[in-house]
Amino acid sequence: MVIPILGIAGNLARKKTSPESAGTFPVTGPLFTTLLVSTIVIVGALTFFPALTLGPILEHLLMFAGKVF
Amino acid sequence: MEQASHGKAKPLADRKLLLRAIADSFGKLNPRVMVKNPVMFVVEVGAVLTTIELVRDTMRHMAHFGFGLQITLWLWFTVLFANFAEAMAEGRGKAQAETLRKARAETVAHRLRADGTLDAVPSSKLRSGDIVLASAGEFIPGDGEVIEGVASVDESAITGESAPVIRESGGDRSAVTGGTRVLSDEIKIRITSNPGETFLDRMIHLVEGASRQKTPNEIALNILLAGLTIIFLLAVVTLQPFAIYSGAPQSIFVLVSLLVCLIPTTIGGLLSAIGIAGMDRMIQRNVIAMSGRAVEASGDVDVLLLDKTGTITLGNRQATMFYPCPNVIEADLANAAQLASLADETPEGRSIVVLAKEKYGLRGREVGHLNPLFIPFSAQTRMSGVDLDGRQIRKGAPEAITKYVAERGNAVPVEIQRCLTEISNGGGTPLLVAENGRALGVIALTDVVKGGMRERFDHLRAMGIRTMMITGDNPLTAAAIARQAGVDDFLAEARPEDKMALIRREQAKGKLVAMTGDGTNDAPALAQADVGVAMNTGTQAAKEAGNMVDLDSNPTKLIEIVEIGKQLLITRGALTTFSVANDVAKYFAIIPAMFARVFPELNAINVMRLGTPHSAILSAVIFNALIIIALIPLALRGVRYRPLGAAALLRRNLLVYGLGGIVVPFIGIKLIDIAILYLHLA
Repeated sequence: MVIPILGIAGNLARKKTSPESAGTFPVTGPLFTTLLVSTIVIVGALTFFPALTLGPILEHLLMFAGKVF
Repeated sequence: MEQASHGKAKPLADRKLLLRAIADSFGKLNPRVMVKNPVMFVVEVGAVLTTIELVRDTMRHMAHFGFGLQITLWLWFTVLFANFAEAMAEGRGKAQAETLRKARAETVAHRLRADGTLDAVPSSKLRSGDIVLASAGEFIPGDGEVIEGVASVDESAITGESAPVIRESGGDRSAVTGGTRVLSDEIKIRITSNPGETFLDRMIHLVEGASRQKTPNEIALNILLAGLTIIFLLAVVTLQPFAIYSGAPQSIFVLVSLLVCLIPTTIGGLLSAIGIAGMDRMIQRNVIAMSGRAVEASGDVDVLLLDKTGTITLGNRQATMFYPCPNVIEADLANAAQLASLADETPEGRSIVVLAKEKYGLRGREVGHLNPLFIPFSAQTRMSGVDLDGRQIRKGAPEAITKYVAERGNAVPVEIQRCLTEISNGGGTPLLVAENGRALGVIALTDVVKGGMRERFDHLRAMGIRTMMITGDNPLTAAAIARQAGVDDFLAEARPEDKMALIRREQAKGKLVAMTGDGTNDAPALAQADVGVAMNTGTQAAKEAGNMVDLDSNPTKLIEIVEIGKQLLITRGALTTFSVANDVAKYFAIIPAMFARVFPELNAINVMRLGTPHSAILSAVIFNALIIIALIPLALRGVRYRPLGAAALLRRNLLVYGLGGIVVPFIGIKLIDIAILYLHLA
């Protein structure tokens, strides 16, 4: 998994820096924060959701149904 | 011409194109082709696995054969739909290449021998330097330059534009392309290309996209998608041990379904279609992009270099005002100026006639009965005019007329002299008019800024793009026009090397520069610019130096090119966002379904209340396949582009494609589930 990420990083490092303008992707402010956080949460949650469902989530639901181990 | 090419929105598909795309999508199942698209390759491998499992199940007479069969079929459909998207995009280019090939078919050329007699030779035998005659109804046998005559030419084979264009000797409308058809009159053409190297040959190669390479951005996105695919592959593979431990082992069908629903198949399937469609949209606007890279670069452009003449202003200066001498009525001045210009066929001369007509209702009169003697302009006298009815009217450069008036014992009034200076300082060109040796007044010729340019520059500014006007005029004139047109900056008294230096300077600051050009002296700058758009009427050197050719030779189109480039980048981003956001709903469909039989409590997270576990999984897979088909039109057309700043655009598109991407599948999967239950499919 690290290898493709390193690939992207290498690609980005080769890019030249460009000055800011009205056409620049804004990386400050609530919009970008929301975007970044939700991307991390969605991609992260998606990765662990299947395992979590069988673990804590199921256990929680079972507990409410009165089954405890 | 501009309007016409706008209105020509080609229908997305016709029957023939569709049938061929369907056939092609099966051909693309070849794993050696598929492996270039890692996401879809994984889906194909999954489909193969379920097919094998299905065959084994059949032999073992397992239960749930119908479910396995449907999952397998829909997995294959997913792959086919993605292939279909790509084939559709390619098909449009191929269809165009076919039309072009027909145009290239052998024709008979009438070659002119040195002694003036004609000689019929096949067009493939023509060499550079040959001179041929083409008359009405005939095909022009090769690329060349009109050296004699004027004709209307049907260039629809190249440009797709049905309205004929005028091609004439001299000037910038002299280039003709082989394979186009002369509609009227007869022209003499000097052939400028050898067989196999014509513009048509190169275009066929380009639109066919046979040599299409992935652009840097596409490669980067592909790596990202491959990374996501690996993550989800690990997530699914590790799920099975958990499931076995929990006493709910999963079948291959369910695991593959989960994997296929999670990996970004939507964008994976549409990625190359989006790229090809970007080039195709350029072709529809009559711009041939030499590479996908050029289209992408045009979306990232920061600075536009625009030539003043023909791009920002109308091609020629036009008469805009009359300034009469004291004691002269303006209408008399207009009348005299019009008479003096009746025989003047230059655009300036014609504009004087038009201005007099518009302002004073003076018609271009029939003066033949007055025996007029027209005096043509010459470089020595620097004036022109007419002698009629005892009147001697002259118009011309201020110095020439001042001298002419002085020779007849008169002087130009001080007010008029001041007026001349004012016009010059304001960026215009004054012409002095005299009658019978007495100055009448001044005509001001000014550059007329094309309509709507200011708004377009405002749009560009909102998009974060700076516009720069390039002109050979003096700084004073340049500043006046730059202010009028609303460009951000200008470069006056520009020589080709200045242009080059300017591009280098901007690039050193990390900016991407786009420009248009047509002359041979533009070639180095075109090659240096990140996006160099050469005009089709331009010289061969310019066309080869640039990375795009505009068949309409309309420099204003640079603005549209930038918009298409931006649209391509935005479409790609929007569909990636949509694709990843879709996963949320699919999880809520598949995960509870996988384990509901063993742990009914998990139905709490079955928020869509899907009917049965099988119908839930099937609905997610079907939605996943159908969304690719549903998004093909969007991928081919591109998302609607609005000239907004990046922040506003991002907010908008996140709302539509991000939030929409989360919500739409919840609704879609639920609807498919209802349909499946209604049809008793699972």
